[in-house]
Parts: sequence; structure tokens; C-alpha cells
Amino acid sequence: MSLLKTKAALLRVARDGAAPLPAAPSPGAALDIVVDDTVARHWIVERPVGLADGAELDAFAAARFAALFGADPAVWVLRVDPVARARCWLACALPAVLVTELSQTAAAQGWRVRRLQSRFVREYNRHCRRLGPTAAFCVASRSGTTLGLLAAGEWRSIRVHPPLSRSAADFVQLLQRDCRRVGVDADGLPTFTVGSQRDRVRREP
Amino acid sequence: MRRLALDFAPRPQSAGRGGWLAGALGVLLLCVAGSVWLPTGTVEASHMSEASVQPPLPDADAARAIDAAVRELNLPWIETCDALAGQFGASAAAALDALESDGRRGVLRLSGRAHSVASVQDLPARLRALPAIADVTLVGQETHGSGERPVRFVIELRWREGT
Repeated sequence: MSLLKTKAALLRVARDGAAPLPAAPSPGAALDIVVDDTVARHWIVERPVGLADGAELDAFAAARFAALFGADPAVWVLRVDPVARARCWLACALPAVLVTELSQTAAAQGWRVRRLQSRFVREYNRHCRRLGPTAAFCVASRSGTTLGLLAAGEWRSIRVHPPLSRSAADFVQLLQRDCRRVGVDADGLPTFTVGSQRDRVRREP
Repeated sequence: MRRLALDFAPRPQSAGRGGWLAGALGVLLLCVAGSVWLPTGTVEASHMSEASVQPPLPDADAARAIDAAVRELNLPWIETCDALAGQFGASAAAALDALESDGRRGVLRLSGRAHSVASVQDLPARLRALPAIADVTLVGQETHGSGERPVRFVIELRWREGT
């Protein structure tokens, strides 16, 4: 048995569903599932004072989720990335039925789900070492434009905009709007963009 | 920037490859930590030796005094008194006047009076029959006057160790 990290197969889940999942080439083969950002929900949790334990954090994140998106958190699976000493934490939610269905389907086909993440989280984790503490990270795809803002090493904002190909506003306007909303200076802000629509970002002045 | 810990993948039921790897790393870390910790450095060892300096041992007299005190403390006084009460009393041939413990010598000194010399002579044999008594010595006897118990006696008992 090799102890080295093995390469995993990749299943992309778009807004209109995923391609049929084939059987695993070998039992327990690793599978990474990436869910489109238009399916997921991302938001910023401002760390509350006097948080006692994980259950309180989950309840607080669920309350913020319901307030922001107007959805019932009971039918979503919520995750928070609680960074020690940070004031703001990034949170993500996926529909519970989707998480369950994908996990069961993958297991039935002989796969071992190694990661199940939103596209923004996956792309960010691939490139985070190249980012400074204050930066904008953007996933520009055909389905949407996810723009996250970091200031002094903390998450300040994350929003999913329409795809740049069908957006009335260009990327600079989107960036300025998001920065103005959370008080981050957009001028000279280092921007890191990935995705099939990244050329549209680079062509902007 | 650090990676985000936002993953919805179901957690594995058992330790897989990562678990084995973590276990191996743990053992390795334990070995390294042990190899660093076990050979104690000179400076540290000197402190340890200073901290564990033994107090001076007592000399022979002090040791005997300690042994005597311990022996006296260990004497089962209640059992001894109960046993002696069966042999001496107002209605018995002999009665006790004093009971002294000499822990240094490990003996119990009995002073009393008896009806006659014969009853005093019987006492050592009767006392030796007691389970807690190892030895009995009639130290002295003398007759005073003509009262109910004119014969005075002194007996030393040596009790069994561990009783």
C-alpha cells in the first residue's frame, strides 16, 4: 500500500446537475466533487463574543445564513472555517439533499469521496499560497463570478455575481462595489483570478 | 494565506491511509522525543542529584530511640490490657499496681501485690500462655506487712514483634 497522496478523479456539479458518475476503476478510488458556486452559498461570519462551543457556532452560523439568504438552514449543510484570533470567518453551505445524494451515489459506484467542496473553496485552496493578506480572489466562470475579499489576512466579503459575459457591470465595477461595501480600498488591490472567464477580467482597465 | 477547512465530504469510518501515516509519524515523533529526553544532560543531571540528596542517616542511638518509639506506638495496648485484666483483679490472687512500658528495651513492666509467694511464682507461667507475650521474667518479689496481699512483685513482659 502506498502512503503517497494519490490523484483523485474529479466530478463537477453544475447548476443543472452533474454528468453521470461512472463506476470507480478500483474499489475505494478517490473522488473529488466540485459544486458550482451558484449552487453553494458563501457568507462571512463575524465572530461573536463569548462563543462557548461548536454547537453555539453552528447555531450562530445558521441564524446568519437564514438572515442573509432567507432559506431554511435545516435543509442545508453548513460549514464554517473558524480561524483562531480572526474576527471574520468564511462559511459555506450546500443543499443537504445534494450532499447526501452525491455521497451515496459515489459510494454506490465504488468511489471514496475525498473532498466535496464549492468551486471557490477548491480554487482558493489551490492558489492560497500565492495570495497576500490583502487581496481579491475571483473565480470567473461561465456560470458566475465569485469575488472574495481579504484584508489583513481576514475575510471581509464574498459575493457571487452574474457571469462577466452576461453582466451589465464590468469586473472593475464589481470589485469597487464589493470593496466599498466593506470599506476596503480597491485601488491597487492585488487581484488573483481563475476560471474560464479570467481573460475578461484581465482585459478590463 | 492558509487553506480553507470547508469540506462536505463524509468522514471516513476507519483510519485509512492517512490514519496509518499519522500513526507512523506519531511513533516516529515518540522515538525522537524519547531519544532527546532520556540521555539527561550533565547540567540537568547535576541539578537532579542535588535535588535528591539523602538526609544523613541516624546514628545507632537515634536509630534505637526511633525503633523504641515505633515499638511503643505499635503496642496493642487495648488487647494487652484486656489480656492482663483476666489474670489480675480484685478477686484474683494477684493485683496490679502499675503498668509501665519501656519501649527502648521492648518490655512491659508490671508492679503488683499478691496473696502469697506461691501465687507470684505461678504468674510467669500463666502470663506466658497469653498469645501476645513472648517472654516473662520475674524481676523481684518481697513481702511487706501482713495485709491481704503482702507480697509485692515486679514482672517484665516482652511482647511479640508484630502484635
